[in-house]
Amino acid sequence: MFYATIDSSLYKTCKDKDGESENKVIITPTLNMAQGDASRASDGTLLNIDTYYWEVLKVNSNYKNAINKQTFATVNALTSINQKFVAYEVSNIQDGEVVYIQIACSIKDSANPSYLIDLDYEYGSKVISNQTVYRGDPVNTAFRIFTTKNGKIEQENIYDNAIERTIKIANKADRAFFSSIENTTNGSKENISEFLTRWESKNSIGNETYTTQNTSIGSGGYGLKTRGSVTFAKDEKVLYAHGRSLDLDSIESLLYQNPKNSIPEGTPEEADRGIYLQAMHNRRSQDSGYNSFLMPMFNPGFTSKGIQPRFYFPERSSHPAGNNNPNQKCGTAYADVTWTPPSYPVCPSNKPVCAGHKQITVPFCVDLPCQNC
Amino acid sequence: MGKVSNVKIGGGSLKVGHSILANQLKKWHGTGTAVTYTDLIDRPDYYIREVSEHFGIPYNKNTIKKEDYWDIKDPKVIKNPNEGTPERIFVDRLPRYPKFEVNFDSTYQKQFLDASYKLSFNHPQEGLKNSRSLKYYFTCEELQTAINEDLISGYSGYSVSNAGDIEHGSFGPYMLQSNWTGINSNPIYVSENTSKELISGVIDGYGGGVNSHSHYTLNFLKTGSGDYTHTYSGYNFEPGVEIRVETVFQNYDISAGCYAIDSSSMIPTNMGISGVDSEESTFYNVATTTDSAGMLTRPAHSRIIQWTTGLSFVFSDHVDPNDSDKKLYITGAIPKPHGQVIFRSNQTPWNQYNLNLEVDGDGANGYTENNYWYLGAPDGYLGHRHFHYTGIKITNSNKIKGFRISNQNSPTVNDSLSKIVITDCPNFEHFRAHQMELKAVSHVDLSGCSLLTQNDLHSAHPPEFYSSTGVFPHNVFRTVPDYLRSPYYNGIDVDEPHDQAVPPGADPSPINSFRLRHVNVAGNSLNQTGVYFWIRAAQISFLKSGYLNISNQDPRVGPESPVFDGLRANAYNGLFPDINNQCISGLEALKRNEWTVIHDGSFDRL
Repeated sequence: MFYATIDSSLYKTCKDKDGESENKVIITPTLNMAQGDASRASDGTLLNIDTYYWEVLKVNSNYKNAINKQTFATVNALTSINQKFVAYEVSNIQDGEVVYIQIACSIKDSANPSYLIDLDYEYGSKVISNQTVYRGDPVNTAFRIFTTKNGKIEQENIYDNAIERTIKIANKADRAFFSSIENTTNGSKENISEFLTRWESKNSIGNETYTTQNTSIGSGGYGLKTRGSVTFAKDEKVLYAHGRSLDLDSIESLLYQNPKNSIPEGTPEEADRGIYLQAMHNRRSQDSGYNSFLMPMFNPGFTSKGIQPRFYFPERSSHPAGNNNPNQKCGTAYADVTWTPPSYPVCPSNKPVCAGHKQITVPFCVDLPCQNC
Repeated sequence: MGKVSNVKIGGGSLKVGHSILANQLKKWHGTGTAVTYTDLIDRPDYYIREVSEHFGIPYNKNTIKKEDYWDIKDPKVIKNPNEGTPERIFVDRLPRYPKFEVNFDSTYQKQFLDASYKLSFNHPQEGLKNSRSLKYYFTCEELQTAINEDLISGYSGYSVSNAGDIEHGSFGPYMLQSNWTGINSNPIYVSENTSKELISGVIDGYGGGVNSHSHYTLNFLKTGSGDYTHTYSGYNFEPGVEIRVETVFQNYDISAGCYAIDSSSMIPTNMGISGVDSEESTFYNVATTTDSAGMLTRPAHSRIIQWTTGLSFVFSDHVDPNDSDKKLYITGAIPKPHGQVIFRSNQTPWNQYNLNLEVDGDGANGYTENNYWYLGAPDGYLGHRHFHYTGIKITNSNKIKGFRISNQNSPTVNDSLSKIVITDCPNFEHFRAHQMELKAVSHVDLSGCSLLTQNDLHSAHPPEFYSSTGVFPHNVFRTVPDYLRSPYYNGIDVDEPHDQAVPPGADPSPINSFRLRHVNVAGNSLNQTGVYFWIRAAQISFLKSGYLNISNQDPRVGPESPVFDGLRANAYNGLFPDINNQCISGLEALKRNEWTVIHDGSFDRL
C-alpha cells in the first residue's frame, strides 16, 4: 500500500557567535514515501512519484492575538518548491515566540495522475505536516476576554493553555492540529459581529447553542469552563505543578503543598507524595536534543484538554458607538460565554464552588456593510 | 443421580436440601415441560445436557466451571427472551491455566542494534577525521558528543536534534544544524555502514546560504528485506478446544522515524485455528513474515484466544430469581461461541527482547571506553536510555569500578534486566541497586570483585541507623562518585549527585526483586552490612530453592568485619547486634526455604 508522510518537527533557532539566539532558522521538511514493492496503488500499479508541489498553508504564532505581542514571522522557500527536497527559512522570530507552520506537499505520478487521488488517503495526494519553530524560552501569552459585571463591560487577561503543551501537540504530527489551533485565542479571535453572524447561522439550523456553565469560581487564578471544554487560568503559575523550573528545590516544594490548591475548587488538599514522584519522573524523562525544550510538569488540578472548540470573545467596536452612527447597528445581544468574577453570582451556600448557569446580555455595536463604498 | 454431587458443590448456600430432593425426580421432556428458577439452579448439568440433546446443539462441557452456573442468580445474566436477547445461563471459563510462549525472530532487532556506522568530516586544518563507531540507536546527546569530540565542535560545529516526534529519538532521523551561517561545501557525511545490506545512513539537506545556516537530516534507510520466523507454543490447554493466535505486526519506517504511517500499517496476522492435541494438550505453530525495503515489520503484540461453545437457553418468560417458583418453559437454545483471551503478550519493543551485553577483559572486545562509552565504560555501568538489556555480563575487567543505574536510565532496566554477571573484576567495589530498580532481576553474580557492601550504606553512618527498631531514617543521602553519574541530559543536570541510600518508607535498600533466585557474591570484601544486605535481598525473593553464596570474604578487622557469633541475648542494646542476629536468622530462614546457602568463616560456627 502506497503511503507518504512528512515529518512534523520542532526547530530551535541557532545561536550566533556571541551565544545569542538568532531570529531565523532553516527548516527542511522531509517527504518519505513507500519504496520498492510497497509503492503500489491499491490495484497493484507500481507508482513512480515524479511531481511535487510544496506550499505553506498556514502560519501561526503564540504571539498572534496576544496581549502586547505581535508576530512578524515570515516563511520563505529557499529551494525549488517543485522538487522532493525543500528548505524554508523562517525569519523574524522574536524571543520567546513559537511559530507553527503548516506545510504541505502535493505529489503525483504523472503517468498515473489519478491514482493518488483515488487512494484511501486522508488528504488524497496532499501530504501535510506541522513544523514548529521557537526562539529562546517559549513563553505563555495571555489574551483578553471581555465580560460584563452589573451591566458594565470589564476585561480579564487569561491563559488558555501552557505553551509547552501546545508545542507538544503540534509536534505530535496531529494533522487536525491546525484546524484546531485556530480555535484558540492565538489562532483566531472573533469580534461580536462575526460572532453574531455565526450565531444566527448556527441557530437558524438549530444545531448549536451557546451556553456557558460556570463550574467554578475563585480568586486564586482560576477562570471558567465553557461547556466543559476549555479551562482558563488567570495566572500562568496555575498551569504548572511547581513552576517551570526543574531544579530539585522546586520539585521538593511538592512535598509540602498541593498544586491543586491553586485552583480553589473544593476542600484544600494535603501534599500528595504521588505528585512529587510524578514530578521527579518528569524531570528525568526530558526529551533529547538541541531543539527540545524543558517540559515542566503540568498542574494535575488544571484539566485543560488541549486544543478545544472555538467560542465567543466579545469585542467592542473601535468606531464611535451608539445609534448616532449610521454605519453601525447597536443593540443588546445574549452573550453566552461569560467571565464570571469570583464574587458573582453569589453562591447560596457561600462556598467557594458554585455551579450554575448564567446567561447575560452584552451591548454591542456592529459595523454595517458600507452601501456606498 | 450421579450429578447430584456436582450440584452440591456450588449450591451450598442456596436452599439445597429441599430443592435437590424435590427435583431429583423431575424430568424435562421438552419445550412443554415447565421449569422454575430453582430447578435450573439445582440441576444445571441435567438441564444443559437435556437441552443440548433435545435441540441437537453441542457444547464444550469440559470447559465449564461449576461455579459459573451461579451466574444464573444474577438477573442481569438472564433476560427476558421476548426482549430479543437470550442470554447465557453460564459462562465458559477455563479450569486450567494454560501456558503460552511466543518467540519472535530476534534478527528483527539485532540486524539494527548490532550494526554501526561512522561519520566523517574533512577538517580544514586537521584533515580527514572519522568518528567513533555509532549505533543506530543513540540519543541525540550521544550523537552530539561524538561529533563534538571526534569531528568538530563550537561555532564551526553542529547542533544535533531529533526530526519528527521529539519523544522518540532513537533511530533518528536526526537534524544537524550548522552553528555558523554561509554556504557549506564540506558537510559531515556517513562513511561506514557495517551492515549496509540491511541498514545504511545518509545525510542530505540544505547547504546553507550567505546568511543562512546549513541544515541536514541524518536518515537511516532500511536497505534490505528478509523473511522471519516466529514460533508460538503452549501447553496445559484443554484438549479438543480451538486455539487462535493473533499477532499484530506494525510497520516501522526507519527513515521517517515513526511506527505507524497510518492505521492500515497495523497488520493483524491470524495464525489460524489449530486444534489442541488431545493427548498432550499442547500446540505449536510457526508464522513467517516478510518485510520490504524501507519498512521494518515488527511484532507489536500477540494474544491467544481459546474458542469454546456454550449454550444459551431461550425462555418463555422473564427469569426472576426473586420468584424462584415461577413456571418457565425452555423454548429453544442457541450455541454461543465464546472467545476468551487467555494470554496477551507484552509489548515487544524491538529494543527490548533478547538483548544481551557480554564482554570480557580489557582488550578489543572488552568493556572499554571505545566500545561502550555510552554505557559509562570503562569505569562504570550506568545503563542507557534506549537499550533494554535483559542480561549484562562483564568479566575480567580491571577498569570497571561500579554499577549504578541513574534515574533517567532506570526505565530501561526496571522491567527487563534479569541477569547481572560482573565477575573477576578486582576494582569493582560499588554496586547500587535501589528500591525501585532491578525489580526484574533474578540472577546476580558479582563474585571475585571488591564489594564492601551493597548500596554503600555502612561506613558513613552512625550505628543507630542499623537499629532493630524497624524505623530507619529516611532520605539518607550518599554521594555518588563522578564516574557513576550521567549528569548531562538535554542540557540540564538531571542526575542527582546524591542517592537516597534509604528510600522513604523502606528499610535500607537491598535489591528488591521478588524474582531473585541466584546470588553469588563470593570472593569479595563484604563487611557485616554487606553480608546483611545480600541475605536480605535473597529473603525478599518469593522463590524457593534459590542459591546464595557469601563465602570467601576478605577478612577485615573491626566491627565491620563479617564475623558472626550466633544469636546474642543483648541483641537490641548493642551497636550492631541486629545485623548479627538478622544475618543468622536470615540464613536459617533461607535454608528452611530450600535455598542452597554457601558460607564460611564465622558462619561455620553456627
